[in-house]
Amino acid sequence: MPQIKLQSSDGEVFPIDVEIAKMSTTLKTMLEDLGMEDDDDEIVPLPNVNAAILRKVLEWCTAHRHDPPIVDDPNILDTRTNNITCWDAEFLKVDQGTLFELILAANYLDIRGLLDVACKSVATLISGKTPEDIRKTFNIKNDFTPEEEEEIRKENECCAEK
Amino acid sequence: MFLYTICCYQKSVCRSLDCPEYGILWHGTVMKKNNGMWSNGISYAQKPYRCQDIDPLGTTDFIIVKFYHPITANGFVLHPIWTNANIVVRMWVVLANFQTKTISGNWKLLYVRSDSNNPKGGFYQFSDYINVVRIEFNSNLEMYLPELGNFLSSAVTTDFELVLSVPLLIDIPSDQIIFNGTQRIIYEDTSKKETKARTSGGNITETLPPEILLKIFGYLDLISLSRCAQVNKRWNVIANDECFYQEIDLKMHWNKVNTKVLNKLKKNLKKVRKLDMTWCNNDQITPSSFFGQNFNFRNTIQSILLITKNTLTHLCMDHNLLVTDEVIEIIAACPNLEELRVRNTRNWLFWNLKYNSLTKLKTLDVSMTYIADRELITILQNNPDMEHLVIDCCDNLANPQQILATLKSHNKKLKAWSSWQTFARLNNSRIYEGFGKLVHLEDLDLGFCEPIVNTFNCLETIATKCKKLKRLVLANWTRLTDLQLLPVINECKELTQLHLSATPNISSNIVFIAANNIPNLRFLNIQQCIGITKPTIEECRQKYPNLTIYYRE
Repeated sequence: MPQIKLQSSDGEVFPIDVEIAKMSTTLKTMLEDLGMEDDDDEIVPLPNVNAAILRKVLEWCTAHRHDPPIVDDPNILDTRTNNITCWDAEFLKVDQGTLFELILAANYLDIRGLLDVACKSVATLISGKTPEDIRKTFNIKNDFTPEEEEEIRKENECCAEK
Repeated sequence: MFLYTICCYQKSVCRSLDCPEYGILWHGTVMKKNNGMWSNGISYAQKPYRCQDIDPLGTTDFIIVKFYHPITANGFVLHPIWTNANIVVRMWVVLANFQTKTISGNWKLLYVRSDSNNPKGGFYQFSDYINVVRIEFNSNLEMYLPELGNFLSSAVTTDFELVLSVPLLIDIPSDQIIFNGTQRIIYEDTSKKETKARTSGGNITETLPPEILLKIFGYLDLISLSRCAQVNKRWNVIANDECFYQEIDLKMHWNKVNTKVLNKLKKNLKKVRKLDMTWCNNDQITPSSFFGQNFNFRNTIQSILLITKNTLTHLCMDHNLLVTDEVIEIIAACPNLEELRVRNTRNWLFWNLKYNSLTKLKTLDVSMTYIADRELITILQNNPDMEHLVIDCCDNLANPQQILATLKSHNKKLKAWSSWQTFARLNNSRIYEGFGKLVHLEDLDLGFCEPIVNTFNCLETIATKCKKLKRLVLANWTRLTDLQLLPVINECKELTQLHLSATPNISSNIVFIAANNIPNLRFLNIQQCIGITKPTIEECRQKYPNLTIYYRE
């Protein structure tokens, strides 16, 4: 099995199977464009991903390497959040910082499956909460002026009831 | 034999029973969707919109029971008695003030069925008085025709007590019941994650680029989305992005949709393509107030339709009392409409053909309305792409001959026809020969439409011409014989569903012949076929394990 080496932003090198690396569309395109598939010594630097997150990403990729590719059907938009598998749910039981970094890494590396499931996970954190609860959960500062807030609250009043 | 029991109780306890999909309850024979197998296969079934706004428990219909005297929820008794209790999905109540005899107007959730997403379900006892109960159910889970009747007859027993038979009494502390939907219960477990997450500090969402937030918000339902809009300025802009408001399904939010909600939505709906306002009457408690307090609501619905009329491709307003002549006039002026469903809307009488600009319709459901022959025919003439036509229980349609002639000349692409109970007094079976010209027909529902004189076997014409038939419904064809049915069995090799309930003259033989000769047959409904014996069915079930047979004496 051919391997390549990925280097995280903090310098750690991860030797991985090309098959797993290709789950990232970014890496796949790069490997194919540069014809790097046979060259074992080449190190691919990933300046946006640190070692801890890269380790998580590779863990996910290894577990999902046999997944069928995601095919988008414009007629069936999969927007359900209740179809996260047990493994993924367990995998995503991380602190918020890690979860968001995973999303950024998945976005950067273009790993569709991981991005989907991580975004779903964030959606479940938001779902059913009041605006104040959401702010608390994500530590978001309310930057509305009192007048603006009142106006927006009134506009959305119908949905605010508990 | 259906639902008779409820009538006796109705006199003493209930004021009225509304059951939109089923018509007036004691006309039990009108009941159409009485099992899942064949509704799953309907080709004109509505495609889901954004699925986060779709009911995970699959409510298809509801009934409303009103009481002469307010009752208390303490009088509710739960015990499992009927075959498939799971058909009841939710129960809602309206609390009443006993002294002033007024109702609050707000629906409160009384019971939610448990499922895999929401394993606990919930039942709540109210100490207030109740005089209206709404029972939502998933008719696809019904196993046989009188099941709902059994449920209803067990629902009402004495003057001041409502006995509901619900599968399990689930022990949930009352403070955990959230009345505005099931979301909280579903995602209860994530609260643990949340506490952990909160320790990380800093506004972490700032690091996410807008496209990621768009993606995350894409997984939220309309209510969560409107809450996100209130979080901060950045979220406000992103949550109001028009991409979230192209497919709007308000059915599941029926109890919250009012003038305010619609006015808020109005700002977002400029590019809406699909809009579902089923059940959104805001008026199910006191229909008499229709012309009074709901004036504003009606106007808002009209203004929404006016705003969206150029972008709308799919519109569904089933069971919506606010579909009036004026609304129909606006709908008829939507130039891009491909799918229109106004099932069970009886507050409009005339389809003003003068303003009719519908030309792209593929699906039309005008069941249980007062649509007349001339109106339907003009619509069919203007919409050559029509594929699915549903005209169940339309009292004013009396001329199938002319309708079929129009279809023959204008709508050759027709795939599905459903006219359950509409042409019950047809006197000449030759009229059905017209179906023979519709060679693309896959789905033909002629339940309760048996010709009175059936000397000419119209099924033979249909069977030899409509080779693509996948589903055929001949329920309550009381004079149907084995011989008449044979052409269907021999010619329609694509057939997967055959519905023959209440056809007393067919014999046991036909079950075997059908199972043996139709290669793709997966579902056979022979409820109340008194000519078929039980041992035959057992034998057939063993011999053809892939075929599901519905049978009940």
